Amino acid sequence: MNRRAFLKTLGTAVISSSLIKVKDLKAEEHKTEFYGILVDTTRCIGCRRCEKACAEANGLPIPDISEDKNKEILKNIRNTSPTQYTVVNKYETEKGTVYVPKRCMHCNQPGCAAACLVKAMRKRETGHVTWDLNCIGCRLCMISCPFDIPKFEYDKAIPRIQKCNLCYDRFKKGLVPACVEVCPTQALTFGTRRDILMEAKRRISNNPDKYISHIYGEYEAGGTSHIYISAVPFEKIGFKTNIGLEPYPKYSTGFLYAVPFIFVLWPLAMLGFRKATRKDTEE
Amino acid sequence: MEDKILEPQIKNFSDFWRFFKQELKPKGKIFTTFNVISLPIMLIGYVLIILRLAFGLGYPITNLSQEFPWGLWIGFDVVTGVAFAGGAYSLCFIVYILRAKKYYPILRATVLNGFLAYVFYAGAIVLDIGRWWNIYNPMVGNYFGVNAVMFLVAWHFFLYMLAELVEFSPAIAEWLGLRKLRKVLGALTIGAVVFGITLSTLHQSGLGALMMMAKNKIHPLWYTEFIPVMYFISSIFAGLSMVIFEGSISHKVFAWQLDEEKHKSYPDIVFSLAKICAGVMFGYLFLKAILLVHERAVSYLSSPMGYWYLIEIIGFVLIPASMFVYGIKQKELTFVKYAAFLTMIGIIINRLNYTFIAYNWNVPFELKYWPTIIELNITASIILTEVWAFRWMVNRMPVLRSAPAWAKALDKGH
Amino acid sequence: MKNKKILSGLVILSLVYVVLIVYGLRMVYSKPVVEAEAIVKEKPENLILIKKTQLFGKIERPGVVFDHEKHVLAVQKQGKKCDVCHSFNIYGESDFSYPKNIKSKDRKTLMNGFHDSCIGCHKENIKADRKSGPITCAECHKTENEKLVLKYPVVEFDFYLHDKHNKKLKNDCSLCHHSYDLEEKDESLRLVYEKGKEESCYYCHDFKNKELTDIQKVSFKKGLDIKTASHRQCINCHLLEKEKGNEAGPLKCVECHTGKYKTIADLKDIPRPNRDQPQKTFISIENATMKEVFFDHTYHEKNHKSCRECHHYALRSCSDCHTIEGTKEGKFINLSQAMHSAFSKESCVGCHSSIANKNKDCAGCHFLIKPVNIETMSPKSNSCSKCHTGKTEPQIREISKPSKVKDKIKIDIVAKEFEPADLPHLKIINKLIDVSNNSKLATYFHRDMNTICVGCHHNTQKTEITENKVPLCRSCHYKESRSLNKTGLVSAYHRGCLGCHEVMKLEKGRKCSECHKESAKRPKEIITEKNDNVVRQNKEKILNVWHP
Repeated sequence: MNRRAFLKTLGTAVISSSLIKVKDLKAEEHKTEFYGILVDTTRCIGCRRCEKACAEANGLPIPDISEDKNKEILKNIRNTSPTQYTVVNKYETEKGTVYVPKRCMHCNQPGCAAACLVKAMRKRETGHVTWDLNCIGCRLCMISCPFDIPKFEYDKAIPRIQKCNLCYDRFKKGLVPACVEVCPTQALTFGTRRDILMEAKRRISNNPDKYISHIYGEYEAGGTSHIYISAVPFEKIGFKTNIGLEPYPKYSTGFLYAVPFIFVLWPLAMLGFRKATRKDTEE
Repeated sequence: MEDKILEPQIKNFSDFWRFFKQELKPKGKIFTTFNVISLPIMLIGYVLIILRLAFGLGYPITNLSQEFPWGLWIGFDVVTGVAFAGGAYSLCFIVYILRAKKYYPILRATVLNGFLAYVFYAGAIVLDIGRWWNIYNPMVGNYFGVNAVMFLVAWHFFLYMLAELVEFSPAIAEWLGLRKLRKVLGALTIGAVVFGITLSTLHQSGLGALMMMAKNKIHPLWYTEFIPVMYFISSIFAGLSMVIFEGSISHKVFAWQLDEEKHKSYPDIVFSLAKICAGVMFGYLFLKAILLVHERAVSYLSSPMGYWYLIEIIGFVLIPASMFVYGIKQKELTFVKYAAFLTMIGIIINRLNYTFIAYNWNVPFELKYWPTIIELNITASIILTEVWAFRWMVNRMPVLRSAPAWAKALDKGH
Repeated sequence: MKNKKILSGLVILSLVYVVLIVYGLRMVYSKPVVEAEAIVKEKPENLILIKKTQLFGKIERPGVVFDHEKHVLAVQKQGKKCDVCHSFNIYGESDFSYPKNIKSKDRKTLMNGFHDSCIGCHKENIKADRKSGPITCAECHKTENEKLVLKYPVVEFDFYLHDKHNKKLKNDCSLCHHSYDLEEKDESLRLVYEKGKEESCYYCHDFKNKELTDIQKVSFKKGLDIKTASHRQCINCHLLEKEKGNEAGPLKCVECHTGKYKTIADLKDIPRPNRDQPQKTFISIENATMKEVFFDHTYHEKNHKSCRECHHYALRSCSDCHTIEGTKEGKFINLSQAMHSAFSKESCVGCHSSIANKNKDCAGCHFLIKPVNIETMSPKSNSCSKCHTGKTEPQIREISKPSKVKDKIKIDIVAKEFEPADLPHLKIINKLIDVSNNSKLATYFHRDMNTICVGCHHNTQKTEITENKVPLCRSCHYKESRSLNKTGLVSAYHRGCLGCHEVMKLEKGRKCSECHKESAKRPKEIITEKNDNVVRQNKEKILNVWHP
């Protein structure tokens, strides 16, 4: 295009852009806080009512939690599965038997939500990490979760990713999660993340010989909404201690930040090379 | 040569349809060894694909598990296949940007290979993901997950396929004899090339960046912050080795299409490609050594995984690189071809390491992943279908043989 | 020709690669090798493991398992005595070190010393046509002993043994007890006997503390840990007595290291060593503001296995080191802290607290009671006068069984899935009263029945409790409470009852059905409302986790 056309377009662009109101760039205040569950492993008695309540709430097969069945089931260390969002495991430690309920940690910055290309795994404003039907089943969330929580229904023709969703629908109706509602010893308590952290710290400082001085999930993986306190070191009751304190999405931001640079610089560089290598006789 | 191939006169769709149906007829012998072996595998594979779509991904169709969500299809078909297709963008960079006209004869074949690779490996992705009917979601905007590396990879796959199609389309236009179309498409080539190289850089490294969040599950000898960079660099010599390897096969099979000049220039092209490969491979090795020290992983070398790592690096990167150098010095073509083959095996091992060998390496033996026969069969049928498509197109379009004279005249204008 | 050579070379190379890949994959896909754990032999039967890890460090061959008894018998058969292997001084005492006369700690010298004396003696026996021990390496350094660890049970020199020695040696304490005079210039005269200052060997020969005292430093330098010191002291005496033909103590390892220990009950009637200690006394100091504390020393003696449980540093009075201001020797812990520290093992309050919290009979109620820092309480408060009674011995009464307390209580307020629970109220109270009355410590503090009630009806004042009117659990633990720091009624029942049963290590009362049976009208579901099967997408805000 010639010079006149160029200046005309530039002029219109500048004027029109000045007329567009720039949106107020003040940081938006969040109106809600993250919610989470405090799991006190010294209180859990291994009755597995949380498993049954979770199954009832989410339409999963209801487990048999009679005493004899519990004794048999608790002999093995189990993992969560496509039909069990939470499982209770039994560990023998020097301080006696410890029961630990295992479920999704609902991280503050979940690796699974950062990995999902359709935002089927998403972190809601209230802290719940939920899965949705627009999932394409690529299973990158399973690779990205440091706790190995999302489970895929391989055996179905219409598979889903299954994991605890902190009973998001019940929460919207003002109820606590199903597992919290039925726990007979209040080993599970529900509240905002701030409140449950405060309560965990209160319990530890008031009973220094009952708990070890560490809250699992306070800083692990950048902080999670499911936090655990315990009487014995966490590696003795099946927790991974090599998670690190960095939120997992940060591991891929290095690459993501480089993308716009490459998108702009590479074409410029290549066109430049092409121009530079052009022989004058070639035209 | 050119007189043998009649140029079709296509004025409307019915002309095209008639011509296309005629071209569908097989050329050459039907019952070659290759056909007889590959056709049953392919047909069984198609049946198995229908079974997989009907019954899902569970055992016995695949051995994927909660510990190993990605297996042979993603690890080999998609990730390794894309690495091998990296020859397309490397060669385009050399020919169009650095203007090394020497490689022009093999350019179209490489671009066609790249295009077919992406098409078929996109198909493999559709097969592997669990909810394949939602595959259009990332494109359509059923929530753009912009913080996902996978989102970038998916879009780049799609756009790169289009870019490769535009790059290859002049050959299709020449095949159909549509001169005006050919002129337009020829003008678009350089834009498609620049776009394609940018996209390639990002999605080759993007495939590596997918594994970045599995930090505590990948063995420390393999996990570094620079996985994307290493994937990108290895895709360069992986692609070029694939060009050498595939070229050596096509050179024999399609020898009747190549004229005297092309035959003569062939060894020279191979040696030059080998030089580039060797250079990049030595650079890659040097970077790997730096990363070993940087990640403080040297002490892991004396473990079983460490020996496997050394086998991969020394046996399948250092030795082929040295063989390249030796082959070039001695002007021994067999050496170079063998080294290219070794390099390809090395790339397969490297990519599979990140997918299920060094990923979750400390899982108990009973839970480890092995591909099932069905997975292997479907993989084989996808690759064989791609080879058949390649063969069909090379036999009919001006890919290996020279372009018709009128096309060359159009190009002179640039 | 060249082509053929290249091709064959490449074929061989391919085979090598195939082997490498297969080998590599097998290595990677195999079960990890678990390193063999140490095999611990708990009943070593007079065997000695010669490994000398402190001097040798890591050794190439496994340690040698040495059958001492066999050698003793063999030497005796030859009509020889212990001085064949061990060197004795002019008094007939040995330090039982081996090899004889090798003082060097040099690795090579020591190894050669072992080999020269052991193998040398064996070779002599072979020459003399006698049955002999091994002379080749592997016969002594057996490979099966590579991970072997011999563990001898600790010898408890309890009051029974002490009394036995006393009677045998006619109360001559100087035969075993000595002290070390640091002031004495002549080193050989530093070991002296001071009458009235006899103490436990552990005070000078035990190196458990991080900071050693001056005397402990001396014994450490001389290599006189409790093991070496007691072997020298005990075995030498037994050996000499045996040579004289008298009845002597054991000489075989297992005869001292029996692994059998006497209980406090066994030792109840054994007289304690006499150091003119008081029987009953009043603890006080000069110019004290608090009243005197009555202390029954004899009772405490009879309820401990060792004096060192209270006299942790020396066999002296507490206030020698723990004065009101604190002294350097007492690590600046003053008298008040020494007596009242709630978490110390040696203080009065600490010891009593740990019994209350850890003893299975007491912990049932006490696990719900928080430890209190007594020093922060007002001197005029009730709890101080329990011990600070002044110059009178407090009278202690046992608690009598109640008459008007409810026998069985039906807990039906939270019955939903289970039948109401039948609490055997009177049975529990009577059992707890028995437990309390059986323990003098408990009876001292549990002066009346209300103290027992407060165990379960906790966080209430004793004055609120009468025989027919008590605060109920539901008064403070609300039925619907699920809040973070307030215990709801259901969890109060479960944590309180089950917690007590667990720490008291009861066999009954641990299963659900033992307290309450399942209701016939049990609702099918235990929750109030369900989730939709999958969370629906909607227009609400989704957090972008890339930008934190």
